[in-house]
This record gives sequence, structure tokens and C-alpha cells, in this order.
Amino acid sequence: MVRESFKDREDSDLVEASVGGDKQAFGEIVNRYQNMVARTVKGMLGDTVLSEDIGQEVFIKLYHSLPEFRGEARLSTYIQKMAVNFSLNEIRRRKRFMSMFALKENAELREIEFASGDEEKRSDALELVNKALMRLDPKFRIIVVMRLLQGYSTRETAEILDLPVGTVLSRLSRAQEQLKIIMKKL
Amino acid sequence: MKTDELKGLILKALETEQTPDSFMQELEEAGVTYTFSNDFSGAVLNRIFGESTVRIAESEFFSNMRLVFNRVALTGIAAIILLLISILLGQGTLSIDSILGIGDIETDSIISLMTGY
Repeated sequence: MVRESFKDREDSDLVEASVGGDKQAFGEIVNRYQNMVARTVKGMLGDTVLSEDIGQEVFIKLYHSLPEFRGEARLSTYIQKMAVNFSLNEIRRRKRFMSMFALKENAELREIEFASGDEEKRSDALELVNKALMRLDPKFRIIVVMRLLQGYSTRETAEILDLPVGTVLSRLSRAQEQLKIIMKKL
Repeated sequence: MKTDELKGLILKALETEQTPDSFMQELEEAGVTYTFSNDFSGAVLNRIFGESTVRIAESEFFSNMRLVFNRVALTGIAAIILLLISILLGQGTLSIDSILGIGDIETDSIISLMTGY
């Protein structure tokens, strides 16, 4: 349980206390940002148990990198960038793994659907969004996740992904085209 | 919310410069929410402040195993069935000897082969 005193504290105070080894302070950071990380990681990797592991690894990495956090960006942006990097790295790792075993192009999607099958019943809407996202190319998927699930503007998306605004706009446009085709099939 | 309505809403939300807050709310009301399990925070703290290195490695190992299992298992089972059918057709039986490939060899022949007499 997080101490009441931490609930109203600024991010900078929590970071300082966490760097000093305060477990409760870091617990409050996790509580504050876990839903944001869940949207990115699960949006990118599918709503599976494996995504939860990746989410945990994001916060573990955050904890170890907090001493280097200078506060130049907001803590939420810093965490968001980590969640994006972890998700994209996991997609690359899966691709390498699939190619090692000569699995076909859509194997990742089938694995995600296979892994999701034993989860509790989801709403139809969530199922639809999951399927649509997983059928998108990852470089377009990340843009859609940032815009739709996180609610970022194009400019903010560009900042988090370290991409020029023009690139984000062109990828967004391609993502829309892909989504239209995908949605027709769902 | 109907599926077609949701599809239209998603495509429309992407056309604006920033996704409207009302869309996020509608998405949430339709059941599109992404959260981790209830004990997520505790699990993270345990992995940081507890003895957890082995568990991280184990988790990656099992995730890899899970990915490959349903691919390899089916192929393996099919190969075993084909092998058994070929033994049955070739040897006419599925005894241990026939599986080991010594079904039609006489005991005397084996002794002779081993001893040279």
C-alpha cells in the first residue's frame, strides 16, 4: 500500500525519493503511470500475459535509470518513450524468433490470437480494436496507439517517437488507409 | 456501441489533429480499456526489491517455449504417426523389435554378427 503522503506529491519529489531507495515512492510512480504503459504495451503487443511482463520490465528499467533522469522532459514522456522502445524491441525479438523457426509472415498475429484465447471474455469493441491494431504494420501501429489510445496530438506523438512531424503525418495517413482496408474485413 | 459505429468513430478520430477527449471517453464506455492486473504494482516492486533475476530469465524462457510449442508439437506428432505407419506397412507389426528395426532379424544372426561364428 502506498503511503497517503505520496499520493499528492509532484513527480519530481517521487523521483528524488525513489532514487534514495524509497519503495513507497516508486510504488506511487508505478500506480500513477501503469495504465498509460498498459495502453502502449498492450496496444502494440496485444492484450496478453506476455504484455504484462513487458510492462513490468518497463518499470524495472525506469527504476534503474531514474538516477540519470534530469527532469528535462516530463516523467510521463520519459516513461512513455521507454514503453514504446520496449514494445518495438519485443516486436523485433519476436520477428527474429519467428524467422529462426521459419514461421510465416502472419505468425505473430496468430500467436497473439492464440495467446489471447485463454483470457477472460473481452468486449466485442476491445476485440475489434485489438484485431485491427495487430493487423497494422508496427510502424503505423505505434502512431495509431499514440493517437487513439493515448490521445496525443501529432506533434506530441512526433516528440515521443523522436520523428519529424512530417513523418508522423505521412505514417498516419498510411495507417488510415491500412485501417480502412482492415476494418472492412473485420 | 455497434461495430460499424465504432469503426467509423476510429477512422474519424484519426482525421483530426488531436484525438478528441470525447472519443477516448466513448472508447472507454464501449469497453476498450487496457489495464494490467490488480497486483501489477506489487509484482514490479517485488521484482525490483526482491530476489528476482532468475524469474526474469525464466519468464523469457517460458514465453519463447510457448511461442514455439504449438508449431513444433503438431509437426512432431505428424512425423511420429508417419513413422509408425511406415513401420506397420514395412514390418506388418508394431512390436518393440520392429520399432527398433530388428523385427525380421533372427537371434542367431545377431549372435553370429557379434561373435563372428
